[in-house]
Amino acid sequence: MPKFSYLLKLLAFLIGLVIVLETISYLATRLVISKAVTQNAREELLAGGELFTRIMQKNVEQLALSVKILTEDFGFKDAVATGDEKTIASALINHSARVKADIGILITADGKLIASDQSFGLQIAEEFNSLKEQAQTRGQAYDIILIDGRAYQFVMFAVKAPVVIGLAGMGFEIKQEFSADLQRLTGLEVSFVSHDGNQFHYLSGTLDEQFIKRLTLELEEEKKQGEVFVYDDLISLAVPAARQNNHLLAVLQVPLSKVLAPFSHLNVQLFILALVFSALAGVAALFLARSVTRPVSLLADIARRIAGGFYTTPIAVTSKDELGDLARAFISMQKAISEREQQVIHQSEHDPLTGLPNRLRIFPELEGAISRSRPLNQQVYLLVIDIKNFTQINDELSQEIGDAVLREVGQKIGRILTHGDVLRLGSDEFLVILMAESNETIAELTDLIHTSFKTPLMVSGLQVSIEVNIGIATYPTDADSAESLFRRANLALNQGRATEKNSCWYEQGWDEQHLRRLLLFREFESSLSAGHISLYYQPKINLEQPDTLGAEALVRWRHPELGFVSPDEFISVIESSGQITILTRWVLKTAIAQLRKLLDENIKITCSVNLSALDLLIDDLPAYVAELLQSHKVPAENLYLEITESAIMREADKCLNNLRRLRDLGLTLSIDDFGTGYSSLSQLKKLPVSELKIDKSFILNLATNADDQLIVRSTIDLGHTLGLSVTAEGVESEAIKDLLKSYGCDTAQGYLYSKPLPAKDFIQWIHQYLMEL
Amino acid sequence: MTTSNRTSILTTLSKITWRLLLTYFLCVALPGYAAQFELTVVDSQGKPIKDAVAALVPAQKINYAAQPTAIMDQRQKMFVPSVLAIRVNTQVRFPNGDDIRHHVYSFSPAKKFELRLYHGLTAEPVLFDKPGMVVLGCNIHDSMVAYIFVVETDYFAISNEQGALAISAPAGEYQLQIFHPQLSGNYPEASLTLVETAAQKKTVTLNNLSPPSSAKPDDEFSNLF
Repeated sequence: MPKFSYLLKLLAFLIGLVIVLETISYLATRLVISKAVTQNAREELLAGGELFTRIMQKNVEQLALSVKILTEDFGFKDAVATGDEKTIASALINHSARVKADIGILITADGKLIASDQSFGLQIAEEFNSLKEQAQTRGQAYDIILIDGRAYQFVMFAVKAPVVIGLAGMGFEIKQEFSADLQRLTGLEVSFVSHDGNQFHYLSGTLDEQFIKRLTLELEEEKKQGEVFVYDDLISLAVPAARQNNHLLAVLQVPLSKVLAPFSHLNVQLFILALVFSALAGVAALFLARSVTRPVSLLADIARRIAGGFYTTPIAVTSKDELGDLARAFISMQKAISEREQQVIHQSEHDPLTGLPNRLRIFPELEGAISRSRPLNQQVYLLVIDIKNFTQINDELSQEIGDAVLREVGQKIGRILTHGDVLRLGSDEFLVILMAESNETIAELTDLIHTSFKTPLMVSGLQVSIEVNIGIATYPTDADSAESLFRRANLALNQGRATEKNSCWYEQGWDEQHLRRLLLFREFESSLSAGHISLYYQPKINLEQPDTLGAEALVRWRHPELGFVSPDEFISVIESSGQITILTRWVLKTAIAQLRKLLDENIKITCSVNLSALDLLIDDLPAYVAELLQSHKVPAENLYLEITESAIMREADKCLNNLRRLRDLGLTLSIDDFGTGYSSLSQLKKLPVSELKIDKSFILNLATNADDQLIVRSTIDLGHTLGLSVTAEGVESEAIKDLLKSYGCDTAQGYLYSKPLPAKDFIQWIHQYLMEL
Repeated sequence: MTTSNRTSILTTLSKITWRLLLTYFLCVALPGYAAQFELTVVDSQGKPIKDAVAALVPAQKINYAAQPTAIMDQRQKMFVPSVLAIRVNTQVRFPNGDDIRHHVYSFSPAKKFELRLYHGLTAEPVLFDKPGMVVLGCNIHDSMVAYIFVVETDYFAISNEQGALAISAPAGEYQLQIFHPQLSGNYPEASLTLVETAAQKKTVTLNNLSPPSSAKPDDEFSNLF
């Protein structure tokens, strides 16, 4: 979830930051504390050493005092002076017991040793040398003496009477209790160790068993006195146990853990503090993230709504920070997008020229009208209006005037309508959507429109006369949907154009027909390549010389689904689509190939192929025909090309030129369906044709219709007068044939001889026919 | 009149008497002898040694029946003089010049005695009947120490600050004995003949002097440790 990822990131960042900071501060604090405490401990240890020395000193003073009491005793002095050994020994025993000494000794002036425990005294006698010397010169001496691994504090005094008459000493063993006392007083671990020249020996002390061995090793390594050293978490200081004696040390120690113990709960507090801060950071991150993500996700929602096309979401701006800026930017963006979209929609749905809604609005408007009409029980009328002579106006006047005319027309239609909508469909077409209860209202309206356009428009100072065609379709009478309504109104317009009706109402079936034409148009080329289109041949017989044969190639389309499609129907479709030229070429090619085949069978025959008006506009047709003839080695005189009179109506010069080029190839040109179109004799005179084919509509009833007889006879005469041979089509009876023959008609074509036949049947028919002659 | 007053008068009187006597001996009695012996005592560095006792013991042993009196005073917790030389069979009196009591004792073989706590002139005189060194101490005041050298002659003297001493004695054969508190062992005796015509002069060097036993005994224990 993208929303939470930012929160998580922020959370991770802040908590991470706190953890890092806390860790650093925790470590730093720890380090500082540890350092300070260790330093403190060192100092305390040094102070402890000082204290230890003082205590030891006091202790020695006390011991010294207790010994001095003995040596100051007059009786003892007397005993010593008189050399009364027994008395001396008893005094020593007595006094030792009194002062809790472990041994008492006396060395007489002449070196004799008397001890409270004589055997023990003798054992330690050797240790006294330095003590004796000192006691002799200074009157008193103190040292720690080692016997059997035991340390004894030994105080020795000179016995003076008043000159020195002997030396008296007392030994006090350093026992565990002593160390314990010292520990209690100094707060330090106290150990006594001796050095025998080789290594250290632990004598006694308060240190735990486990540390003892390590201590002696450390001491050997460190060999430092008076300096603090640390090992195994023990801060240690070795001081001389007695000043005169450097092979006996007191080691004072304090475990780091003990020093740090008061701070361990500080650590816990720091840790708790870190946790609290982390929690606070978490909460802060949550709030911070929320304060960011909430508006951001709000804006994201709004952005999605904007993407979805909603521009009216209110955006509350409360903060004045960057998010507030963003929100304000969103507001202005939303507004701008909305405005721009409105503009774009308006532009896309409106025609810039007339300001009228354009074709994009057709269906929305239509559907709107349709849905509105239903509850009103009204009909929706769709009027398609086009300007009949607009191309002419554009061409003859100017594009600008054309545009002005379009504007004026749009406005005029709008003014005439009391209700309903006007749209511009494109080029010179307009749409009007109306609702009314009856067709009469609309008929009146269309009349009004036509009437209003009788007054010429004033455009740029010019009077422009306008006529319009109107196609009308009705919902629900003519159509059941907006699409079909639109299509059918257009069909009505086209129909009106074709039939020269200013207002044309859609009639049932037009649309179906239109759709069929569309289908034919779509299916034509595939049918051609699939072989569904084939050529049929209908014989054309010379009336004077029946063995002079001709044929007209006719196109037949058998569609697998639609069945037989009448040539009139599909030719008009493919003429309007321009596909006729494809068909013509195919027909030419097929017919010439067929001619070749017939000529190869020694059948003397000509073949007519119909050309469409469009074919005549194609300049390379003559070359194509020539090439076909040449490639099939068919003589040009065997090919007839038929054209209709109306074919030459458009671009007459071009058509004439192409016709001449065709004739120059040596083939024969015919006028087909003569008499049906606007026949112009001057035109006929100009055409490079050699044959004239009278339309079958004049021939079919020739035997009974006097008018037809008149027309046909005059036409034949006319043709002959112009030097053309004349062919009659639609000859279906002997009577007609005889009539035509009597009129001097050259050739006849029709069911009398044969209906159009497929190539194979046609050949068979020829053989039959020739045989019957 | 109280007893104490009487005693103080007595003390004063006796002091005057002894001074008069001493003056007499020094000024009148001494010039009676014909021969003169002058001795200078120095240490190995040639510094004069004070309080050295020189005694001229006549070759012929004399039995001293008479018992002269000498005085070892105690003033301001000190024996005065700190070194005293006396002839055998001399009665030494220990007048206490301080207003505190003293407990004078000696454990020396030449004379072992003890004068328990006393004031003024109350102590009985002590007869020193054997020659030798007697070390005096006070059981109460450890710092008090004095030496009495008991010699078998009437001719003896103690060296002054300059280490000099002079003895007047009849001409004749003598054994010279030298004593000093710090001298360990006996200084070897030397024979000596005095003649009346010329004063015999001699310098003695004392080598084996032990360091002066600290006049102030080390009572502080602080430097013990």
